[in-house]
Amino acid sequence: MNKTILSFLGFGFLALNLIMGQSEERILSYEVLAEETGLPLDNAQILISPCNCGGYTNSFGRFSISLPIGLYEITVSYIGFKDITHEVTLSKALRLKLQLTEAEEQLSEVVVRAKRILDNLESSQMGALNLRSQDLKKIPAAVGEFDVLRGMTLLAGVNNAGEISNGLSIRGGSLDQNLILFDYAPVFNPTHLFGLFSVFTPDMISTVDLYRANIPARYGGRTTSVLDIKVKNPYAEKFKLSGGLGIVSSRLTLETPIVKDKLMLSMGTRAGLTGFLLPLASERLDNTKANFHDATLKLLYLPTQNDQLSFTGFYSKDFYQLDLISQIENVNARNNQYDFQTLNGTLTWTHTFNNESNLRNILVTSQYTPKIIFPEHESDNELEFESRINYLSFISEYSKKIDNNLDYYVGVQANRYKIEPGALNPGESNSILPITLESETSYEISPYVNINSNPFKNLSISSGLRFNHFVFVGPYIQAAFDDSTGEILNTKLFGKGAGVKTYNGLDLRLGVALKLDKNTSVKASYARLNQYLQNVYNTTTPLPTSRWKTTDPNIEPQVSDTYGLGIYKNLNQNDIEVGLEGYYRNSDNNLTYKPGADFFLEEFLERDVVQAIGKAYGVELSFKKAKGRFNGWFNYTWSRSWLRSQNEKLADRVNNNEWYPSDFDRPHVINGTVNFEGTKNHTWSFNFTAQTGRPYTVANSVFVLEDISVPIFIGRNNARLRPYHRLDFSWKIKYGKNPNRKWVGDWTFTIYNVYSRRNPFNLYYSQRQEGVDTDVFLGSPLGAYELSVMNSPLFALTYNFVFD
Amino acid sequence: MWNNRSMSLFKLKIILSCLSLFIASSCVDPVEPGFEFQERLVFIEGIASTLPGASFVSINQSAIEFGVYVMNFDESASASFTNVDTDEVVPLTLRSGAYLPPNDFSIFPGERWKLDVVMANGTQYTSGIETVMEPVPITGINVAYDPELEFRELYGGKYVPGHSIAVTFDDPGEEDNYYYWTYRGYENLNICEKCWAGIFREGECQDTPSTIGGRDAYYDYICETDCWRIRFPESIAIFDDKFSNGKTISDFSVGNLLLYTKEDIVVEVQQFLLSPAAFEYYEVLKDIVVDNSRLNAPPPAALIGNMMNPNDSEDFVFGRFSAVATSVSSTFIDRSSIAEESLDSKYPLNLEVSSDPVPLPIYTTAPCSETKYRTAIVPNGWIDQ
Repeated sequence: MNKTILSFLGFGFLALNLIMGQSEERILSYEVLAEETGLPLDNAQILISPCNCGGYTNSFGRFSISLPIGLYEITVSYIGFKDITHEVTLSKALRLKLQLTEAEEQLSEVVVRAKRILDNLESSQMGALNLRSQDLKKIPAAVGEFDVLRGMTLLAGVNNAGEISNGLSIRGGSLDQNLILFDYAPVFNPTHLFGLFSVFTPDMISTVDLYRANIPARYGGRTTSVLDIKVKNPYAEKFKLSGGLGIVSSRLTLETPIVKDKLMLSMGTRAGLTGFLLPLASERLDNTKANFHDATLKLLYLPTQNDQLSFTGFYSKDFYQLDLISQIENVNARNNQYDFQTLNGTLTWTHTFNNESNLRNILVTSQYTPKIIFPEHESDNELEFESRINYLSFISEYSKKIDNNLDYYVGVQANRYKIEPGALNPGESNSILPITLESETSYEISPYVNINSNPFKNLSISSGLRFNHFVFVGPYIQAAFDDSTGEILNTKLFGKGAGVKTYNGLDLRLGVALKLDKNTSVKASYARLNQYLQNVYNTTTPLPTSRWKTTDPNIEPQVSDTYGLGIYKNLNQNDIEVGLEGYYRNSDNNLTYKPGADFFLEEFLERDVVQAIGKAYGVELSFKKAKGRFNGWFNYTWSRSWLRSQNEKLADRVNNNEWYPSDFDRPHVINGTVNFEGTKNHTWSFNFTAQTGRPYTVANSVFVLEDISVPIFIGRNNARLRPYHRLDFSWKIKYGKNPNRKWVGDWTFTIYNVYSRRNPFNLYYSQRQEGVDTDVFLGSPLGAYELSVMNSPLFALTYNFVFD
Repeated sequence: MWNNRSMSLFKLKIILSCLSLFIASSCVDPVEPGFEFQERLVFIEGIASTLPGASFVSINQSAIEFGVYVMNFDESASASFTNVDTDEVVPLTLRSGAYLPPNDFSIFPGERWKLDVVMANGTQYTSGIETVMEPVPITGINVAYDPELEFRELYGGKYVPGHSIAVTFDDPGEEDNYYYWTYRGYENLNICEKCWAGIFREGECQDTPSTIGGRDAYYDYICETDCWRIRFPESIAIFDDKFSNGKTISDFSVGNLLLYTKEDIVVEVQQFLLSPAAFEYYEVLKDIVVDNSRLNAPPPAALIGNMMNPNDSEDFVFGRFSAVATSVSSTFIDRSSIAEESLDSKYPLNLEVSSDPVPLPIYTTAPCSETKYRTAIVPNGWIDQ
């Protein structure tokens, strides 16, 4: 390890020396504003030729670059605004102010600018995908509105656990190995309705960045990827109201200045209140309720020209009730009520020293509280199970751009995790005991540094270091168990705040991009990542109530080493982007469940889990056409994801300690999206996705116990469901183009699963019944049934409006 | 248990509920079951009980015979229970399709027992040591009829009628207790044999030289004596007192008895008190039999208990030996007034008559032979109506 660090530092010094030897340059600065509002445009794109360089404006609409003296053609663009192209003779330092005019109706219906036009060539950030809300809105969704997580699953290497999935699997990793941030705050339950929607208020999203290779050093805590979702800054000069009315959910967003040029507010909310429709569908659903809502608020305060204070609040809640499915023993409950709640807050202060350096301090709090409620039959009493994650984080980061060839940031992040694994409150019940598991507290402090440099004209390097110091503290009971009986042999008690276990880990991130010619580049990357918080579950995919667990004396941190190599080429004047990217990931201490594990209110979780080694590898081919009436993308991914337990005890082994495909192993995945801008007011879009079926387990024998045929399993995931494929369609109809109208509306019509594919989600054995399905089950000792979530198209119509 | 797996079922229901807004037809289809059958897998299931007559050992081995996967009961093994404190060895003998101890054999709370098995090829299997717990008596049985008791895909995807069986007992508060229930339904049986495309002769259904009305034709044979069909649980019922230690457990559901027929029935519930390790085994069993029919079911696990090959630690042997404290209670159910139709297919009584093309003399009755699934012994609690 020391040798690696020395090599790394040496390379950095080499890069610095090379940069010092550049030719005479001048600084070109831009300030880009919206003409109508006069407010700065964050992330406006600056393209400069012939150097094929450029960048993006900061949150103050400013951009600076140091260039050799000469003549340049510069294009400034921002989605929703007309481009400006002009020539600049750079002989001295120049500071230019540009005002862009809105051009909504002239906006090219570029389906997906998944990356910056040249960034994919010049950035050393491998495996990074960037989507703006405008891109996501063009992806057909299930129920009439765009959805971040569903949109991401159309990208190479991104998947989920099937039709319903409570998160994303990135490159064969489990869902909890992907860190999801919403304005810096982690989101532990990212979906409504168990995966049908993501929780992020759609109209409040600014950008979505997915990092899956050399993840920047400012991010840590997960072993495969980071999904960083940013909330729009409320740059509002006048009141604006927008929203949508749909079958399953409706939404409303408002933006308004509170104090002109000083304090601005945006707020969005969405609600799914369709529970009242369920009884209309079936009498069986009379007692069923399914409601959800989410809300995002952002306040922006600009006390000085160089300071920016913002607060983001996020709230998400799901409430469901249905006839009794699960029960607490000895409780006569008539139904179950499920209540999941997320409450996040992010306070950010950004101070800009000059155009090239700033300091950002961020205070983050995130609280996730899932509850299950059991109203007792013929009684007013309710039993309640509740767990909670309390996450608190402080980040301080200083960033500086030395010149066009070198920038860096350095920072520190301090986290506190407090997990309340579960409490059972019996209310007034006299047959159930109250139970509260001890809360688990841990601290993590992580200094980090990241340097981006261009030591040579055609070479760029991104290198990062992140050191993690993790401490698990008391109160805690450390127990030793008898291997054969499972009984506790002895225990050791740790008092509140007493150090129980410490882990130190060094994360290395390195990305190198070599530009072979004007349109071709090669990139290589390496990343080591440590993970200290994980979700434990004994199902195919985690549920909102699945238990979260930090690393402790028995559960070691997950560690991964990911290697990547890719080649990228832009064709037809950057209209078409082609990429071929491969990766290999080794991982240790992947958390999986022992056969028959039960985590509910389990005090000693370590008895139910196994830490397995893992490996994942794959090749991703991507093809994008971002412009023209026909535009879209196509991806093909070949990949594998494997796990292997290393337990001595036969009954604790998974697949008898042989390598087995993880639940997220999908050898072949094809995704395609096509947009056709038929006329000015109509856009038609199609998505197609196809992939190898999910692994599942078939029995190796059948044993009869009393009158029950019992399937006997030795392996895990030794078979596959039928392949999954699906076509979606959306039709967006715009009208009301009169710019003077206060009220503008449009319609979105979507069809999910156009050709009624009955994609299997699971397959299970059943006891045979005389005369039932004998033509299918034939002479088998057991029957089998295939479950699918959808067997018909899902239609949705949404009316969207804007009032200002 | 209420756990992640139960939550999975919830997930299935809620999603199906939501999608039912848009979807008219079912999302469950029968498919040909897939297997990766393996030969020479050994299954040993053993119970030593505090109840006389309830102890047994079953030894089976898998094989593929003529291309068909079979599970053969191994009749050539030897088995014995051993009291590890007194070294008393109780040899088991092969009777009625099981290895059984003497009829009056029973174990007692506090004793420690193990099972030893020697296969015909000399392979030895031995169990871990099981300590017998104190039995917990059943203080009440409650059966309740529900015309929509269970949703069954097998019957065309609808709710079917039946009785739920629930027990009441007082959980001892001194220690953790783990329960497992099984039951026997003794149902009045009138027709002891039904021969399809054949006739009953010499104690079995025989093909006749001439076809009697095709393959759908049959003859019924009325039981010569009183006879009871024995029904077993179709599900697994377990319970631990983690949330109820020392409380009275009232009307805990231990199974559903579907309305296959409307004959009267006696239900005999056996309540086993298990060791923690045995309970974990039955949890796995429940997972793979009961809790598997979900969109997001718990992935299956190997049903490995406490049996092992002392000479080969890598030798897989399935099943387990449990020394269980047992208590029993019975109840009688009069089903004659139930309005709903029974689930079993109904065929009109068709007895041999002398004009039929069958060898004379005609037979219209058959004996109530003692098997696992029927008995002529009057069950406890039976009421003649």
